[in-house]
Amino acid sequence: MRISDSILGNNFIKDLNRVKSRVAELQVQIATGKRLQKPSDSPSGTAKVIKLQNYLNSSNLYSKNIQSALPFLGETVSALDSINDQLTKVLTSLTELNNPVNQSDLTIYANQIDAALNAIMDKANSKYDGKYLFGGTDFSSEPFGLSSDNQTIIVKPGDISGEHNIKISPSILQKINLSGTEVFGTMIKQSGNLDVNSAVASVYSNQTAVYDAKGNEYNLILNYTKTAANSYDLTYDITDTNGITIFTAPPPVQQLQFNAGTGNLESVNGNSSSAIRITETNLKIDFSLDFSSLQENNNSSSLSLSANQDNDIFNILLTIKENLLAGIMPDNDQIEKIKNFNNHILNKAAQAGNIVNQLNDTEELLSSKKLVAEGLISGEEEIDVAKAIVDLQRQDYLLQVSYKLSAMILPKSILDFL
Amino acid sequence: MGISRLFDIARRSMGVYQSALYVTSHNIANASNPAYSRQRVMLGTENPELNSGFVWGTGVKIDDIFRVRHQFADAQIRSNNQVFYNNSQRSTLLSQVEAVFTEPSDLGLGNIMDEFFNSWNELSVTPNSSTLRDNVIQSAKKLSGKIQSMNDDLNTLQSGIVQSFKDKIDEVNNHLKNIEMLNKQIFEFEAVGQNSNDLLDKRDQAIDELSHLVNINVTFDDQNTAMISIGGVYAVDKNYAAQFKADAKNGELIMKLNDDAKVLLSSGELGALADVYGNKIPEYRTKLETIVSSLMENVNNIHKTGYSLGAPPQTGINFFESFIGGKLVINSEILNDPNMIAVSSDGTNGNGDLALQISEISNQKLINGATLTESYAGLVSGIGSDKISADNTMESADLILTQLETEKASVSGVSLDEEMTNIIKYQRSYDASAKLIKVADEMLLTLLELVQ
Repeated sequence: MRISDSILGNNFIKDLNRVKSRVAELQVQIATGKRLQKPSDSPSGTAKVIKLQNYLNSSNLYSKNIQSALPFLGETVSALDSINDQLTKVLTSLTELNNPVNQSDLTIYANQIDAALNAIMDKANSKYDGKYLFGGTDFSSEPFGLSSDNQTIIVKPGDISGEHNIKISPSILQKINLSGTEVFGTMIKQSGNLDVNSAVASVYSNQTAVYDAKGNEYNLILNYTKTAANSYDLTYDITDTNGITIFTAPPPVQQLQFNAGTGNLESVNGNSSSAIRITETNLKIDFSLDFSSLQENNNSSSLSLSANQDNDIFNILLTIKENLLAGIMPDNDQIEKIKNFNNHILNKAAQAGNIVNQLNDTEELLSSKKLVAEGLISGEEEIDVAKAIVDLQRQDYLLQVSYKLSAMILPKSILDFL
Repeated sequence: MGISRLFDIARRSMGVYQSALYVTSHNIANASNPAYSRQRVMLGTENPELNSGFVWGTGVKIDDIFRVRHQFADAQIRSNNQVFYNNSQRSTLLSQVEAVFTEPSDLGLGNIMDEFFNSWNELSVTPNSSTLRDNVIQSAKKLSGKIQSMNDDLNTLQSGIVQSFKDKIDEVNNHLKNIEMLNKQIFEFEAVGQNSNDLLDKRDQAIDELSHLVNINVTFDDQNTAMISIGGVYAVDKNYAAQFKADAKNGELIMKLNDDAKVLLSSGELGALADVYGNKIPEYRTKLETIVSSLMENVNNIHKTGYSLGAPPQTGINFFESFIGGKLVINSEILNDPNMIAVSSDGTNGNGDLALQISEISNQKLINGATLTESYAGLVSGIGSDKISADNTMESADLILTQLETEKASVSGVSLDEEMTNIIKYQRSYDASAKLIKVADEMLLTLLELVQ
């Protein structure tokens, strides 16, 4: 091949540029510690880094959520512990009252119970980070307080049954509060089954005893009327012990919709929540009806109702206090109710403790997952410095050789020898 | 036959070798001119003479001065130039697009979208916290700012492309005028039998430069006139040079002579400019807009059903007002009053169900079975792949070009060693011819002395 002068020059410049651009690339990589500067450095790597970063960001968020939920739960547990202490004191006082020696001045005991009641109310109304611990999702005012006639203690705003849920993993939604209804309220649970094969217009009834704030007994009657497949209308009445109706469900009727496939309750009045609250202010009746366990399937219909407590703790204590002031000793039934409530509080405290444990476990799991994701990102994005430096040295060597060679060859021509 | 014949032959030969040295010196002078093709003197014998029954040689003459040219490599270089410059331009433009997306980094849209959805998730934990509400607004502002700056950057990039498209069409027009003129001069030179080597080199160079810019088709007629058509439109011969115009209409860049004669741009730098302007950037923009629209729609759909803080709580509020022309506008009522963020599903102020649902949007497969982040990652890696494919094509065209240019330089390039050797050769011939005159002179002198 005939070699003209420009061939040597051009080849040298091309090769030199190739080595130099590689050196420049390595130099930037070593200086920044990153292999991926722009998407074209590795399109699939970039996509992977973006996705991993997304995963890492959400994991960080889950940790943050857990971090903010833990003190809230801690407050909840400590509030429940204090309530438990107060109830133990009340029970001790009431036991002391059994001794005739102590029955001479009931006012002292009435005051003790009043103090305990105030302490429990205070705890029930306590707040953390602007949120009432037992206020459900309504933070507009304290959840519990005296009624306008000072006769009973009532739930002040509309609803204290709301749940606080936080995300602790892509698929897990963790409830982190114990709602007011759950802890202090009366929940009447409807369980059992409605026969899916029954004809439209079939009616099923169920009843149970309910109590007003003063402890007076009434009868709650529920009637389910089938209106269409998987659909029922609910009406309810409250009668006194003589069978006289004192309260009827206000319109509109409650509509219960079941899932045709699973038989589970899907909605009440189009709402995904499966509970309704029944209040009758004049009679001081206030409880929640929970339908979450009610089903509609092939078995024959059978219904049952059960309550977590007959009456709320505040009004029991208030009644005992007022009775003591009036010289009336508390009866065993009332003491039994306080004991039951105390157990209920202990159960709830345990439940909150379990949530704390679960959050701590999840947090640990998240930390290790974050570590893995960070490792993957750095594997994708960061350079192997040692390898890059060795590579750089090799390129540098090539560059020097190429300079030397060109310095030897390029200036020579036949002129040097003529 | 007289001694004077010796003088004739020697004189002619000295003239020939002097001319050969001129050509050699022209070659040496142009050794570093990349467009230059070396020229060679083709020596031939003078017409012989019949005398005394013998044919006598009458010396040397110059048959031709021709340029040494590799015609096949020329055509190949032109077609590879079109591919190389097309992809090199494309790669430059795409790296500018890459810069707009600033990925992978904390400042990229991917991370900012995460921040946006995470701020909703945080709000769900304490929905009545004004700090967290402000946080949502801040992250939404950041998101909308980023989207707008990306859109602005793409617009700037596009207007830059239009400008350079116009500039390059001007260059094409200049080259065409130049080629027309050279065609004319070459025709005139050749018509009178003159040597047009240097003009041919100039024309080759102009055609090469034209092939950097646009897809051309070159043919030569019998009179060695170059006739070029550009993307199906006849552009130049020896009497005509087309003058093209640039037109940016309906999101397309058009190079045209008039409305009936539009150039089909398929290669060269102009091809890359038109393609990136009319296809690539709109494609990326559409994908980005699909992601943003889907984000806005889904956030609004959930937000609309929620209740704001305050008495009485309001509902039916859109979080984003609109997404038009690359601007994602946040509802001004919310900007003025963070309490208007509506995340309560039942109107109570501690309910954050909808904030949770909004943060869930980031996990939903909304666009062809992919989440927002996934389809954004797909978009970014798509841009990277486009750039790599341009880079690879450019590199392979570059390798072929290097090979072809080496071949061309091997044939047409000047070798100083060769020229120096020729100089010595021609100089020696010149010396010998001069010596011959001296010999002839001595012979004549000898004869004259006989007469005395």
